[in-house]
Amino acid sequence: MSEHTNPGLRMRPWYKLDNAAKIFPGQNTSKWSNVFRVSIELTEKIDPATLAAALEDTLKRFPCFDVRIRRGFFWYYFEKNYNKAPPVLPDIQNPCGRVRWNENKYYLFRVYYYENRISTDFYHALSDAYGASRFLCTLAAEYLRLTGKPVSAGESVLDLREEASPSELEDSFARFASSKAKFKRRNSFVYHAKGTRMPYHTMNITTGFLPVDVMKKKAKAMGVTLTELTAAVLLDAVYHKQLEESRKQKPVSVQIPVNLRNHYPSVTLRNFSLTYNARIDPNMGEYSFEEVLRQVSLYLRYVNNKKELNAMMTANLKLETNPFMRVLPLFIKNLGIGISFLITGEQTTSVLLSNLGVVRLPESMEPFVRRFVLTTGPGKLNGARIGAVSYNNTFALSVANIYKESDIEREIFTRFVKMGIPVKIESNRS
Amino acid sequence: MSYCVNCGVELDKSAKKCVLCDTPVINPRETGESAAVAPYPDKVVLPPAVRRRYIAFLISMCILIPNIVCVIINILFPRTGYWAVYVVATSVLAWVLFVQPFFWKKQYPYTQISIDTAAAALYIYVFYAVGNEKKWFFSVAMPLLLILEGILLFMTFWLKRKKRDWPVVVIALLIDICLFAVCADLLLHIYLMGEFALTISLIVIPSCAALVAFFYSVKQNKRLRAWLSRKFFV
Repeated sequence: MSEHTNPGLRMRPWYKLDNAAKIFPGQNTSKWSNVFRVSIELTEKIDPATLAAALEDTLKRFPCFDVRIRRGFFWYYFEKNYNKAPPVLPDIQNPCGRVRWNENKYYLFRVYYYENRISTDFYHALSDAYGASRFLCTLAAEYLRLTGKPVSAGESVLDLREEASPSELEDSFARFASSKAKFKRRNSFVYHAKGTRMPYHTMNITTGFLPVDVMKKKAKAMGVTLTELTAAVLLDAVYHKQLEESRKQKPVSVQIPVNLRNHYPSVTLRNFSLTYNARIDPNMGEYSFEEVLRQVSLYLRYVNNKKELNAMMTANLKLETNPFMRVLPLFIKNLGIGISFLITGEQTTSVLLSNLGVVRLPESMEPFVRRFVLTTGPGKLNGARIGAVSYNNTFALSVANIYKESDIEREIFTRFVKMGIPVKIESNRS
Repeated sequence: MSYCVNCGVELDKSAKKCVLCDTPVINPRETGESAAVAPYPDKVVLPPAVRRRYIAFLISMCILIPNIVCVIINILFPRTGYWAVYVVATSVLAWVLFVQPFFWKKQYPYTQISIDTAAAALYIYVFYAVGNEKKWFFSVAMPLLLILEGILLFMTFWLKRKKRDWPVVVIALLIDICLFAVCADLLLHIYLMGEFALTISLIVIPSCAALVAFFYSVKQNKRLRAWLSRKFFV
């Protein structure tokens, strides 16, 4: 039987969405989907035909992305997609567009190319930034191989000769959630920066490239990590924006996803991350940058532990396994998810900072790769959402803003400049 | 390579101005002859619109089926009166107002308003004809409907001519409400009592006048306007 022959309805492989992915289809609207982008910049111009061939080869290694989403009576589920690989598209100015199930040959990710850059827009139900980065690195490695470069597998590049292991396809939430503690969510409505909204399906992306060694030195001098420093700069920028804007002050919070693979021995390529909110309340008094930094740093260190995360994970899983929730028909679940997202979703976070961490490539591949960028999709209320990733000595900080004004981006990047960290800016603003 | 003199960040070679503060890039050493490639392409691709006509067709079918059932039942039981006429008329009006616009590929506002008025007139006429009542349809309902249509057509024309400031649009709407209230008041008085008189519109006009004054001050006062824009930002 050939690869793309449809074996008939009963024999089609299928699997459940993971615990975190379950909420994303319910949030989907005709104007917005939870989509993010990972991009890799090579040293030479991309040839679309070779990239298409590389994609075809790579997709076989990632059965969890070679899927389409289907509607069951109680839940959505993934089913193997028997179409050929999705088309390789020339890049556009407005990435991270909404996802519809029947477009793009039913695939839930899109592949773009532009000059030296390969980009993939991933629907969050498929995977988180970790899984997407593994896919992109493997795709880029295969592309380089097809262009005659001797690139080996290893680090973030998966071996295409191997079969996908069950542990790569598992729902790690279900495997590791085991806490007996009761987890209480403590969220409150927070401030959101305002501005003139861009038309739907468009956003401004501003990416700053900073040297990791200089940043690390600065962070070390302050006694914090890169993520803590970036989160504090972000929080302080939004806090000052609110001070200028209005008299009535609301809390300001930054949402930070945590890669749970750092805490648990999981190699899953599907979602396995949770988020927590570091916040400050301006009603408690004025904050200096040092105080914000200290607050963020201490809070992140306090909550970023296995036990706390497991309690959060178990609470999420309990919602899914609750018999009452399970028997609710899908359309009611969708309605509930839509409403709860409207009420609690972005209302409880002012900005998002998603730091993918360090991307490591095999030594044989490094000479052909210049940069790596993670761009979050547009927010609904969050003016700016920020994606960060380090590769070699470059820390790429990409701000996706749904507002025309660039004051948040300016504030963030000029602060780094003032700290003595050089910043190089690229943007899709024309 | 150029730096923004205002922000201090290094800019992309293709940048003609700083993307953070719009300060123009003036680098005497770069002649611009070797055109650098922009970091993103200019092409904006908007996702295709939802299949509106298909959905409108489905909704039409959903409306059609119960109507057919009602008509058949009414024909089978003629002694129950002409109640199916009301059901059909209401469905037709709802369909014309809310479903029919989605069948058009382009928007034709003047045609839409005329069709909506005709449907509304037909709907009222059904009640008038079946109820076998006095002349209220021609002396009150039709003139009011035509006045409303005239106001809507004029507003559409006025708004399409150029982009209007939002307080001005609100003022125009308030004036329209006053105008319609006066016409309705006069027509009803003539029909019911046979004389020219104003009663309810005397309450509407001062209320609208106060609001017009407020929005006029909003139009004039920049600070108040900025505050309102921020407070009621949607």
